[in-house]
Amino acid sequence: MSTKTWFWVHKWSSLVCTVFMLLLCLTGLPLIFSEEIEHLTGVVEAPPMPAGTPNASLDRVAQAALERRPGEVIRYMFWEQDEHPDITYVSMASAVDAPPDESHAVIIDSRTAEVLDEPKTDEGFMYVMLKLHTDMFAGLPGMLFLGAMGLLMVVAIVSGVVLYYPFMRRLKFGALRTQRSTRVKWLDWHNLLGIVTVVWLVVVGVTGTINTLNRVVLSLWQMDQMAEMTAPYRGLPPVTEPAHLEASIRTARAAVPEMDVSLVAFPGTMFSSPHHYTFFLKGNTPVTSRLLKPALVDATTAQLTDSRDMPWYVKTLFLSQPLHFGDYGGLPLKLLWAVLDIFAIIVLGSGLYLWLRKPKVASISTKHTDVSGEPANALRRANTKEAAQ
Amino acid sequence: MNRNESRLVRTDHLQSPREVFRIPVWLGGASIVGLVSALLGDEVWDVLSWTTILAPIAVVAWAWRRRA
Repeated sequence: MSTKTWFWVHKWSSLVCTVFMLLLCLTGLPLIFSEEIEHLTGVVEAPPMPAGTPNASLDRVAQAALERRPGEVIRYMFWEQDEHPDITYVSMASAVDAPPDESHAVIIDSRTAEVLDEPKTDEGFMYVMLKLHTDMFAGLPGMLFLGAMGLLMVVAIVSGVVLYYPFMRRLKFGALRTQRSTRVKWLDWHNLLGIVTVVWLVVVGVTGTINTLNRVVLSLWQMDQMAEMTAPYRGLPPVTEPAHLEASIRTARAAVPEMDVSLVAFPGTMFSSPHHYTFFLKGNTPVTSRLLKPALVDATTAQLTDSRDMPWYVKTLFLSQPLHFGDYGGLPLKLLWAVLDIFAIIVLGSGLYLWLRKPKVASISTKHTDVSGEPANALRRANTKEAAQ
Repeated sequence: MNRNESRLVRTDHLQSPREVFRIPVWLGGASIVGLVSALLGDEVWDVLSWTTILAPIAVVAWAWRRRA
């Protein structure tokens, strides 16, 4: 392809996605630090008790949640062993098949089965940032749309790398000409920040796009591995008298002893089957803590049905999460993530500026021989060269 | 444009792709090492991740200091 074609690809792929990418970069900035912000804004903590205080039965914990919100059902329970070892988070809804977004949180002390808090999860600054970042309040279509914009950004990055060459042939790496026109200054910033963030931005863009497919991936897993594991249960009536939760979690722990339970999906929810509690277990290294392993426990008998490693496409989704969030290397990594995010914002902003203030070709003096950095000139030269070949 | 700027930012010959992309490829490689290493483990792996991902940022600071 000629430089001119690449330039066209770069211009249009960028123009279409820039506004959305700016939105994603700006809302993503506070989201990098959501854990820290949560701590500062005073999330509930379990009261201190002597170390080694045993946990209450999970059945009592479930009972406490059901009593707190009568008429509702529990869909999920989850734990954050590292951050809040003594807390059980319960997610409730008006019905098992209520919309996925519906979630009423109840926070329970795992040792005493006492309700500690019922935080509102659908309001506040961070909630708005998260919604704007994931689906712009437009549900699944909004999410998939942002995923497509992410792919378009990758096209913009690739074409940008190709164009970097004709622009930089006469310039040293890192050239920043600030004494000339505002346009040249921003062109140099665009080229420098663009080229140094290429790998990071491609990784964050691609993993972000993969994350937008989470519901698709989940249904795929449901139809594939989950359907296989629960085949003997097909056609059976739904569970009416569920087994004891405590007995079920013990079964799951015994089945995968080297991992910790991080989530249990109740029968009939998106992450389970109508006849099972599905426990998701995680390991304790940066990678295995992301690669959750399911253990299906019969919700009537509390016996293990099956436990298999996730298929490759679910593993890809799981590993895309840390690589998008930047939450897998402590606070220093988050700070670097934030700086690179700001670089990306400057690349987007300067790109927009360069397009809005594009020079009129005729106004560029032809006797001005030293404008190699100007796009019109670089383009013209490249075109002439190609024409000569 | 003045002579000083010319010496700082211009090359004396038309560069090949290899020359233009030499530093960007190194920085990209450093970024990949950094993105992967923090996934592989904690402590020393995290430190390796921080230092390698710092490389592109440090290069920008260096370019800013010697701007023309």
